[in-house]
Amino acid sequence: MKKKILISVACTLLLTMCLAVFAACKKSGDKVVITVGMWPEASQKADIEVFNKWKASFEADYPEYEIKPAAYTYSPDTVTAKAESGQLPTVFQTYFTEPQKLITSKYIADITDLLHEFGWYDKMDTTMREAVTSDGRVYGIPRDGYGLGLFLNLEMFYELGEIDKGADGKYILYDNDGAPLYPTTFADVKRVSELVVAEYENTYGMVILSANKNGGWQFSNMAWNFGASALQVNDGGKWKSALNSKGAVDALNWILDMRQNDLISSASSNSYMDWYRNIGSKTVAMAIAGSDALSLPVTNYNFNKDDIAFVPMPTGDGVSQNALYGGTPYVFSSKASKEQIKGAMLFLKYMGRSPEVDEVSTRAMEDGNRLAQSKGMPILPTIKPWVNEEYLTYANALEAQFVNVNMDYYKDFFSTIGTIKKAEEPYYCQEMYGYLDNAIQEVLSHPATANPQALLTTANGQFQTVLDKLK
Amino acid sequence: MKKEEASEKLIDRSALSYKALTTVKKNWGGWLIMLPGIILFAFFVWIPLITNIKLSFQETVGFTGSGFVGFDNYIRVMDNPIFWKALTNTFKYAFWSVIIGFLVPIVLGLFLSEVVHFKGLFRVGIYFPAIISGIAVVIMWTYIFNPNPGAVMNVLLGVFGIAPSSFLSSQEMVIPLIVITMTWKGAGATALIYLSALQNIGDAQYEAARIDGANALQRIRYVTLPHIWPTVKMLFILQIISIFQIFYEPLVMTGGGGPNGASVSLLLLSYQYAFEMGDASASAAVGVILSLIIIVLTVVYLKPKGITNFLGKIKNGIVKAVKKCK
Amino acid sequence: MQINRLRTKTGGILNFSDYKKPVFKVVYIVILAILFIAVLTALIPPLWLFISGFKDASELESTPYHLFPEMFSIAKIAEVWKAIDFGKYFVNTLIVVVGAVLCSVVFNGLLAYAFAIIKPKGHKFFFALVMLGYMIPAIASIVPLYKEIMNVRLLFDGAAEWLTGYAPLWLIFGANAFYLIMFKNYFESLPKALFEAARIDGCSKLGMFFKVVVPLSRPIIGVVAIFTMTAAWSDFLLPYLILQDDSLMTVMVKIYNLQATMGTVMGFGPDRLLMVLTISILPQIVLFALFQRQITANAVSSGIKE
Repeated sequence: MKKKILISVACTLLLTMCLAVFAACKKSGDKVVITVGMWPEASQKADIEVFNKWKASFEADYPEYEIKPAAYTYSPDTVTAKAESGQLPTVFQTYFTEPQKLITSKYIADITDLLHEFGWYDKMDTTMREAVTSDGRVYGIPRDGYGLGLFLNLEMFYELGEIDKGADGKYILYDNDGAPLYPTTFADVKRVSELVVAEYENTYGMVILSANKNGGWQFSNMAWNFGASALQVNDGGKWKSALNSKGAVDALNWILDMRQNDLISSASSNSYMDWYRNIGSKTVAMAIAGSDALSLPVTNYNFNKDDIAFVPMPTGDGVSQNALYGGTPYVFSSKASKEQIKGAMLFLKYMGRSPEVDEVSTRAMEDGNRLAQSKGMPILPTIKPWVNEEYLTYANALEAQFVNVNMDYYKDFFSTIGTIKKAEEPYYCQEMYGYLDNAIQEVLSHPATANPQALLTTANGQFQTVLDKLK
Repeated sequence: MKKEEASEKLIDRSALSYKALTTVKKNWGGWLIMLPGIILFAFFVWIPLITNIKLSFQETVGFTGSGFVGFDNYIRVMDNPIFWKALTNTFKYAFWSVIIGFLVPIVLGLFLSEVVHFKGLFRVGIYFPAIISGIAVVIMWTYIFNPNPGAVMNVLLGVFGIAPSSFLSSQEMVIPLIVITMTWKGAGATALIYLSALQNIGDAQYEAARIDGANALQRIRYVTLPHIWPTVKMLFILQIISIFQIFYEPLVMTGGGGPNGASVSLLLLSYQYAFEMGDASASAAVGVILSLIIIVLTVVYLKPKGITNFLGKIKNGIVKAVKKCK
Repeated sequence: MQINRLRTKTGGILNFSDYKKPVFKVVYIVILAILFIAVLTALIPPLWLFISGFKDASELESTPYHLFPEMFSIAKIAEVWKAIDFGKYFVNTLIVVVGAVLCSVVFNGLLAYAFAIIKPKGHKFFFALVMLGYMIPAIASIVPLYKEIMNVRLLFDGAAEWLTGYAPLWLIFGANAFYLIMFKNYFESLPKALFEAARIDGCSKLGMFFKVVVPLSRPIIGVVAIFTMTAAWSDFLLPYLILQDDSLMTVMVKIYNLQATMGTVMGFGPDRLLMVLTISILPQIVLFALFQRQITANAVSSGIKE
């Protein structure tokens, strides 16, 4: 009896397996299938609804295409696995630091000709286009940009007496002469941190990221602002690592000083989520963040959006001021056919991510803003990837309609970003950030003995061997 | 003369082929049964191992090897201070997991076998962590070891008047804490294995020892330990194997082996070389070094007699294989 | 407490005669206390996790720390479960575990059977090869291993994605030197006469495995199955690299991905991650409660006599 049951179970299993194989073999008609990597994760129900709407209207207009969701959150360590196994979606998002690596490994496709065909090439922001260009060929379409700046908890600043409140209940970030009351130098940041630590229990001045390459990423901006002109130098055709220049050492010394005075936490494995985790749980008053991520404390921690200010990166040496500038491009799998890539680019239009301002695109752009509004997210100006007149006019007008924050708290950032923006270092950025992470971690975990000069010299040597791989 | 020689050879050859035929006839069934297992071992263990050795001497583009570069990859890997950290960390992991991970279950197992009250509660309770998937355990403990002075563990320490600790952000504490996490998950299940070995010891043996005048400690020394020794040995090997497989614990708990490489393991380093830095040949070199360490340890563990047996087995195998080829 | 039980305890290192002395009564109480502490240590962290999952994100690190959330809303479990669609990942994990256990028992068992009982020509050579890689984890050669798996996958291009995804995760458990040796040692201890008898009855070699060896080897099969189950349940690296499609991911891989992308995903903060962890444990608790006796008994039976 038992045996019979076993046999029948085995047979059913086998049968289902065979059926599954056959089902998979069946081609989905003659349609060109486009897998979309930026499809929202399953948990983002509202986003998926909007994407489904875009998919439906796209497939109605172009019946020869089929959009297939393939949610993929890019990360530098999964892309190798995905690409080597031929599982990259037709189109997906990455960061501006990544295309060079993806191009060398031949994982993403050259779309220059299609861009010309669509008439999009000249409408692209040139700095952003640069980030996705190699040997004069373009490999991606920028979605948006971000600049690093300083996130402030205004409620704390007010309680500390750093800023005032007007009669309308709004914070006043400037004195009578119009000079900013928020920290503009790292010395200011330290001064405010001292006040924070004295006033609040279990709270620090700011959070320093130090893990998963995020420490090095933010640190490179700090190093620039302490006077390091670049962390990678072209020395007569050969790239030299410059991680231990004076500016970089000064920046790390500043972190060490903050740590020794207990103005920052000893936590040495803070990665990207930890800036908003600390801001959200009010264990810090300040954090360095990207302008594209400011809504995270609000959506994930119910942080009051009216208590947020976002100001330009402070300077370290009183002279240098840069804002690390990066962004998100859409790139296309090199395994995809020209037809698929073309379809994927057309779909970008239906997502409102193209320079076009016809009915389809404007509706999609509105959808995007409505979605953000419905989530109660702070809606801020964005850094635009397209620079053609009609796009800018429309996008700016739309934004003005949806922006729901007090722009006084953001205006300095957005007015300076155009002039102080600085692209990330050119080669093997993620590796460089990794070695910098180590130096920062040492400073945080051994403040009594850490020697910034020596640590950065070690990191410099390690990174030089990586740069030596450049032909 | 020549003719005779030729015919002799002819006979010889036919005899040989006859012999081969009977060997095949006698063995084909066994070979067929061996085949699936051998294929799997070849595919998942032997071929990757050999390819990895080859790859470690090559230059790589993506995951594909090209020209041979001698020991360059090894030199590059060893030039990187992080490698030496990973190597010393491996021994730190081994040390702590013998101290904590290996001894705790033995003690728990002994206690479980002695106790007559609440037996069921103790067994189920102690086994409970084993049912939680590894990654959930690791993330949970990362949150518990939150270094903020206002977070749970520090508040708890504060109750006992202990100053807040930075836990996983401390280079000295990170490895013991990771081992504690692993032990928390694994100790209960292991203790139950010891328990069953202990339950196999008959009352009569303890009785005999008692009659011989053995006190409690002597009974443990002369009755208990010898009986559970095979289990101890087996679980010791498993413990050692698990040390060399430490990978996602530091990946998750310390954001990839921090602070400053204080918790990075060789396997994690090998993974990071391949999948984060795109340096497959360095990854292979680390993998080969890791394998060499394990082989040396295995040989030491097998001890002299074991080694001769072991080498003898390999020699016999090879001699036979060579003979067969003739 | 029924101290009587100590008076009737006949087995173990300490028995009734020892417990007549007060010293050993103290020892016994210490043992009980230690075991209670061990049980609390095992249970409190998951309980903390369960409670914390209900907190609002900003409550997690609030000052002063409070253990209990301001409000318990059972709806949050349902909401997070629905948002993540957790059932799917459970089924996937079960598929991986069941397949791994089957492969582990069948392939290691068959090979051990050949090595221990049939002993065809060349078995010593292959056994020596197996011994060489005895303790080396397959993932020490991660690059070639991954490449090989992907190459084979290309051969089965038309096959269902889940099959090509899960098959390597099942089969790799079929090549485990440790399980193989456990099987081999056990098989060698079986009485030879049985095999002779079966042979005379005209049993084929494969038939003998299923009709004679397997029924006699229940204990060792249970041990290997339990070991494989635990290992497959917590297997991470290969599933993480191979199962790139969200719909195929195991619980381990999904949780890792949720954790790793938390820096960019809106509406998914640490409180939700903790809730997901709780949810990931719940079905296991149900399974454990149902099969508690079998599982602990099996773990107990896996103590090996040699």
